[in-house]
Parts: sequence; structure tokens; C-alpha cells
Amino acid sequence: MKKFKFLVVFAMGASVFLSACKKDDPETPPTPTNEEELITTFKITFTDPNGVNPTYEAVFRDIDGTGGNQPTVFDTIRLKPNSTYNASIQFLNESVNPTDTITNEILEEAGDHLVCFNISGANVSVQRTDSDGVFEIGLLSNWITGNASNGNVTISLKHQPGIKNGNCDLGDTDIELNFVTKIE
Amino acid sequence: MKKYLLIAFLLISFIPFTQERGCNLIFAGQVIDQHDSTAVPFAKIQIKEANLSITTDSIGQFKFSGLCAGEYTIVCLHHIGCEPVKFKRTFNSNVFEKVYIEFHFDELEEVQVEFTVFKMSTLTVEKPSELEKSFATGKTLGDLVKQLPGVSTLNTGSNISKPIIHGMHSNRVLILNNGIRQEGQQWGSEHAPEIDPFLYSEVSLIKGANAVRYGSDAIAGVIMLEPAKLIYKPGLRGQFQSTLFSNGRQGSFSTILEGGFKKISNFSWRAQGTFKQGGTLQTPTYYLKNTSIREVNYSLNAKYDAKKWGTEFFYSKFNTDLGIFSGSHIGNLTDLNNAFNASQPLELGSFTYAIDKPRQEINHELVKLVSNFNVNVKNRLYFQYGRQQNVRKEFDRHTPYNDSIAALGLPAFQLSLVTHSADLKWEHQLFKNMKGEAGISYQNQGNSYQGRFFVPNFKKNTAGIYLLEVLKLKNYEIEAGIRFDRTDLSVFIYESKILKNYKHQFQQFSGSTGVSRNIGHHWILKLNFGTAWRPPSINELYSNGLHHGAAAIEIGDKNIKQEVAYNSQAGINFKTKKWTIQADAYHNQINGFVYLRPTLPPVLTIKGAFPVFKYEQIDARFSGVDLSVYYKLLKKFTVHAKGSIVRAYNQTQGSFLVGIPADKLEPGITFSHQFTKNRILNIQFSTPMVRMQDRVEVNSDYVSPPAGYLLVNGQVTYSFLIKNQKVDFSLEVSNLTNQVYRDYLNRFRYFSDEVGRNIGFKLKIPFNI
Repeated sequence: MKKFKFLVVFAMGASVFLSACKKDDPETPPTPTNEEELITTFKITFTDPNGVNPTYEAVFRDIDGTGGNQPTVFDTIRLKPNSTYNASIQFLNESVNPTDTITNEILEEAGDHLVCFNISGANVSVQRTDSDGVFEIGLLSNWITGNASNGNVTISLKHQPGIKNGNCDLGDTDIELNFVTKIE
Repeated sequence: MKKYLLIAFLLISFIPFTQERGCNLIFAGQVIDQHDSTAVPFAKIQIKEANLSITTDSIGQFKFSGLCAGEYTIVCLHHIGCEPVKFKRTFNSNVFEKVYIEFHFDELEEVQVEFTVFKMSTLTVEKPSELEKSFATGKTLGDLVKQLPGVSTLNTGSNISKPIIHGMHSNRVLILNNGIRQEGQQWGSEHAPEIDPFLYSEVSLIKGANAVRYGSDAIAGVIMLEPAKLIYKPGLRGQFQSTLFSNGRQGSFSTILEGGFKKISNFSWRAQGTFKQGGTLQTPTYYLKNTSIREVNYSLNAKYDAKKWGTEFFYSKFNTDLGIFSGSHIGNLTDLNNAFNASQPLELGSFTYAIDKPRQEINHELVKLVSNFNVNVKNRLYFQYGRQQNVRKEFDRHTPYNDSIAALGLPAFQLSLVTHSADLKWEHQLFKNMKGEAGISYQNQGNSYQGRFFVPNFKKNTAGIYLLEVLKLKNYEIEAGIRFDRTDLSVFIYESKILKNYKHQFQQFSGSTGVSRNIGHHWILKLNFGTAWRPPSINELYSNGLHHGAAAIEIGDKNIKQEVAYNSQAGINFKTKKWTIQADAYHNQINGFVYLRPTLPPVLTIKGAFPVFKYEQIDARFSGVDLSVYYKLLKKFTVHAKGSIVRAYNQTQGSFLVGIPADKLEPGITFSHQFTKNRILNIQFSTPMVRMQDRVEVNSDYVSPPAGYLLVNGQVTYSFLIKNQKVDFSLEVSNLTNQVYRDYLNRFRYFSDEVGRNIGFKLKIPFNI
């Protein structure tokens, strides 16, 4: 009887200490793990299919991601009036070496993504020229400028998994950049 | 009064020690409250014929010696205003007896009032009634405690609910899970307590700052959760409980098995398990996409209880996987604005049990060992060790762009918190009328993260020491206590890719005094003053980044100091044949109250511009009134009302604090009919009414507070005997009128309506094998 009592209590105690000694009792302080995946850089390149106007590149760059230090580059889009440009968009992670081109992954999941353009003030119209097979994507687009003017173009990347219908209202926004745009 | 108070006693053990003749017999025992099996200290035991009288000690024990053999009348006066328990005994030998007392108020269970004067506290301990408990069965812990006046819930959708006491929540509310401080990532408003309410039959609430007994963090109050006491009876028995809800087609099944052995009468065990699954929830007009939930919880409990000492082992595991309403997942301010402006969510779902991203996966494990040693009648020692491991994984809707990373299926971030705690407590009676407890406690904590940074890794050590004494006079009870705690925090954070180590130290004295007075048979007055404090939580010190879902950048401040609360509280308890009233008023002054202050300018990111909030310390005051009234209209009808008002003010800036519960009143009516002692029918209707929160600063929130609302809830409970087992059956409905409304304290009020009508069906069957 005495023995049994002892066994019962011993078993209860032992089970506590056994479960208390699981692997996660770090002798050393926990060390933070690596940074998450970032999109640090947005690049839009304008080329004139007729080769008349020089190629123009507008960049946004925030190497440490959201928060922390301010973005280091936020260019103005400067285009010639009454011209046509082919625009191509690139998303990069420049915080790693070598630079990770996120555009490739977006292309792979083209059916879940949509690039949207919202123009105010500037005399320019934008037409997406690429397609995921059903809907446009917007990584490639056609910009037709009018007379000289100043304004803004907001370029955003929408993530619309399983809900993409060509509409910009849906989904959550991965990128949203409001570029000062000058047609001059 | 006598007529209405039926006091029953039960004799469970009647153990003759040794056969002895002559005038040297001993009669000893313990007075126990039938309802919660707790010892009743300060009860008076009389032996009429011998003209002897004695008061029970802090653990309800008493002992008479030198008795002659013969028949005696024993009287137990356990409470002023209640009829004494009287019984006759013939002594031929030494006797140890447990005296069970029970409070019944006109045979209605739901209107019993806890007379906590006997539990060594001048504080008011509140417990939900049986009907309130039944209504909350199968729901969250928040839903259970919010039935008490002064408590609301902070919700993130319908599956995540946190208790708010007197306008405060998260790190300002302490949850004692089976005697152990619940340690999860409680700083987050979307982090619900990891608790399976099916396990806990005893839920009690102490409002107000009271750090002395429970340690820091108890600024707004303490929620105590205890499983039912183990019963030392051979055999195998248990209980099956099931709840089914129409909304979300949710089902919960919980089983308890317990038993003991003939050969070792001092040993008892229990095993318990809960499974819960719910699908997409519905507002009156649409489905809330991705609101499914799954929960699997289990626990084991065993205790060996010798007279002199006892040891208890407890293990529990809580696992949940829940979907976060997809309409709430927003990338930036534009998305947020689109969601605000839409009359219904842009994405609507259909019914499914599948859980999609975004989702949370949480595991919480608790292991506990408690030993008690009864040195003598006046001294008792407790030692408790606990270990908790909390793992929280949050999955974004957005998988990583990089395919090889996405293929791993890792959460966007994972937080893992391990807490060890050890407590030593000494309950004592130093003088005839004075009892108390003293203790030391130690806690060691380590937190680590993986994935996206939100809070850094840290190690934390906390130690505390306290003393609390209660002086019991004829009509007064006076309590005073003091405590000292110290917390050492060591933080490991990468700054510009260099690992930095910051050390913080927080220490503080806290104290409490209280007085409780019985006036006549009907009144109890209580007056308390208590202080409490808490060290800043890790997010208040170090968060730095985008709070997804809130679409805001939150920035901590390393220089934040502890927050100290000074709480005064007055309560009145009035009880007559027709009335039961409890009213409490409080004033809570908090110095260094940590809050998120909006600051300019917004931060520019690749996702657009975000508003910035910084953690700051201000002086704040919270004051308010809680009230509950029961009035017996007719023999079988009771009308009742519960209400609470909170007023919170930022004194430093001269403005209202945000996120404070709106004024609330819940009138109701209950019909009760007792066919026989064990066949009881209750029908209850109540109408929670919540005013619009108009005490907010203009432009302090994205969207102004929603309008007030009125809901209709009803429930029918019926208990009856099947093969000598009391079976409880209940049918209930929440939001009977299918009202479309939004609640100020639900973070998802920006995006969606509250859930619509929900019909519940509940069954509780005890069994004996």
C-alpha cells in the first residue's frame, strides 16, 4: 500500500519534470531569425517603340522595407507630350544578394495578380497589354501622352487569389505608389 | 428569512478513529460549501449540551476535545442571516466529520449570491449563475464572463473574443488558469485567451486592481478558472456534454471521465476532452467568408490527498485553428477605405467547414504540479510548479512570392512563448481572529519568433513576495496586504542587422486594504482600495512595423516604464426574500497608462502611406458603476437587470480614451418551475441593450462608432432524472429578431455586420459506469 502511494505520487511528479524538460529550454538566449521576404524596389521602364524619345526609368526603392528608414529613391515619371511608350514593370528584392526578381513569381501567379493605374491631372492614358489568358495583368502596358501637363499616376499591385475578375476593387494591395507625373 | 433559506447538509465521511470510552473523545471536522467544495472559514460550531463553541480556521477545520460519550446536538452557524445547520450525533469514539452546507435561495439556483466574506476576502467575487453558464456553454470564455456586469468583450470577428473588465483588457486582465497565470501572447487584441471553457466548472471574477494576492497585471481584474473538485470515490463516472449551433453549423462535444480506486481511497483522477468544429458564420444578410473554426482540447488531472498532505498533477492542451474573415485582410489604407465604404464585404462566401488563409493556429500546453502540506490546524503550506508553452502561428492570405519558400507552407510569423512558474504559499492563523497568507513566486519566460518581425525575442524573470492578513470581527472583516515584485527583461533585437541586447528592470510595491461589514441580515457593505502595476509588454517597448489588419504602423518606445493603478471600489450587497441587489462603484486612477497615440506624418512605404501610432504613457482615469438586480415578482417569475457604465478619460491630453465599452443594460425575465426536486424547468428572456459610444474624439478613428442596438435572447432549460442521473437539456436563441447591427468593440465592425440569429441546442448527461 505504502509502496503504491509512493509510486502514484512519484509518477505524477516525474511526468511533470519529464514534460518540463522538452527541447525548448534554451540555455542560450533565443536568437532572432532572418528577415522576411521583401519587395524593396519598383521599377517602371518606358521605351519608345519608334525609337524617337529616350528610354526613361522611374524607380521607388526602400531597402529595409516597411517602416524603419525612409525610401531612398522615389522618382518622378517624366514623359514627352503626344508620344506613345511601352511600359514594363519590375518588382525586385534588393535586400538580398543576388537580387531577387519578384516579377517572375508574379508572372507565375498571373491569375492572382493585377496591376492597376489610377491617373489624376496628367494628360496620359494607360492600356494594359499583357494577359494571364483570361484577364489582363498590367506588367506590360501602353502609355499614350497628350499635351504637356502635371499630375499623378498611382500604380498598384493587387493580390486577388481566386477572385480576380479584372476589377481593381477586389483583393488586398501589395504595392501602391503614387508617382508625380510630368508630361513635358 | 428562515422560510426561504433551505440549508441542506450532507454527511459524506463518518470515520471513527479509535474506540475510546470516557471523557477524552475528539470531535473534529471541516465545514465545506456544498456548491464549490471550498472550505468555509470562520463558521461557528457549537455543541449545545456541552456548552462548547469554536470557530473554524482558515481552511474550515474545527476540533473539540475532551468530550464525554453520549448524544449531542451540533449546530453549525456558517453565516449571519442563514439558518444554522443542526444535527444530532452520538459519540462513542473519536469522530471526524465533514459538514456540508449549501446556500439555496427559495430553491432557485440562479439567484444565489456568493457570500465571499468567508473566503478571506473583502473583495467581491462574482460568478455567473447556472443559467448564465448554460447560455454560454459551447461559446468562448469571453462570452461566459461578459454575462457578469462590468465585463464586455473585445472581438476580432466572431471567433476571437477577449474579456474587457471595467474598460480594460489584454495585459491588464489577469487570467488564472487552474491557479497558474495564463501566459500567451496576450498583448495582442486579436489574441484570445487559450482556454477551453468546457473544462472549467468554476469561473469567478474579481474586479478592480488587486495585485497583492495575484501578482502584477491584475489592473482591471482577475478571472479565475477552476475545474470541478476531484471526488474521492471508487468507480468510473463522467459526463458528456454537447452543444450544437445553427449559425456556422457549429458542434462541440466534450467528455469528462473520472474515477478512483477502492484500494487507494485518497487517489482520484480525471480525463477530459473537447472537440469543436464550426463552419462559415452568417450575418442576417450574407456569409462571412473564411470564419470556420476547429478546436481539439484535452486535459488530465490526478490527485493524491492524504490527510496531512496532498499532491496534484494537471495537464492540459489547447489547440485551435481558426479562419480570419477574409474581408478584413487589407494591404493598405486604400483597401481599408474600400472596405469601409462598401455596404457589405466585397468578397462573399458560402458555407464551408474548410479553413483558408488568413488563419491562426494556436497551441497552448500547461503542466502543473501542486503539493500541500498541512503542518497543523493553523498552518498550511502549498507549493506549485507550472510550465506553459504557447505557440502561435499566423498565416497571411498572401503566400511568399518565392515558390520554394511558399512551398514550405510556413506561417507569416510564429511566436513561441515558454513560461515556468513556481509559487510557495503559507496559509496561517497567527492570532485568534486573524488569518492570512504569505507567499513568494517566481516566473521565467522566454519568447522567440520566426518569420515576419513584430516583437523581438526576450527572456524575462519575475519574482514577487507578499503578505496578506484578514482580521475578522463580529460584523466587520478587515483586510490588508503588501507585495513587492521585480521583473528583469532582456531583449534580443536586430538593429541594422546587428544583434543588440537591451536590459530592462521594473520593480514596484503594491498594497491593498479593504473592509467588509454585515449590517443586519440583509446588507453587506464593502470598501476596498488596491494598487496594481504591470511592466510594459513587449509590443509597447519594441514593436516597430506594420500591424497587418490594422493598416497602421505601430512603434514602441524602449523608455516606457511601468503602469501603476490606484483603484478604489465600493460595493453594496442587499438580499431579502424578494430582492437581490449588487451594486459596485469604482474609480481607477492609472499613472503611466500606455496607449497608442496617432502621430504625424504618415510613413511612406511601397504599399502606400500608412498612419503612424506611437506607444506613449499618459495618466488616465476609469470610473464607473456596475449593477445587478433580481426581483421576485411572483412565486415563479423573477425580473432582473444587469447594467454597467464606464467612463474613461485621458487626463494628460484632456480627451476621451478610445475603445471603451458603451453603456449597457440587460433586462430580462425568468420563469422557473420545479415539478419535483430534480425536475426543473427554466425559461428566460433577456434583451441586451447597448448605447452608441458617443464619448469619442472627433476623427480619432477611421469610422465613427456604430449605432446602439437591442437584441433579444432566449433560453429554455429543462433538467430531469434518467436512472438517477440529472440530465440537463437546453434550447436557446441569440439575436432572435435577426437584427443587423455592428458592435463598437468588434474590430471587424469596419468591414462587416455581427452574426445573425443563432439557435443552440445543448445537452449534458452525467453517467456512472
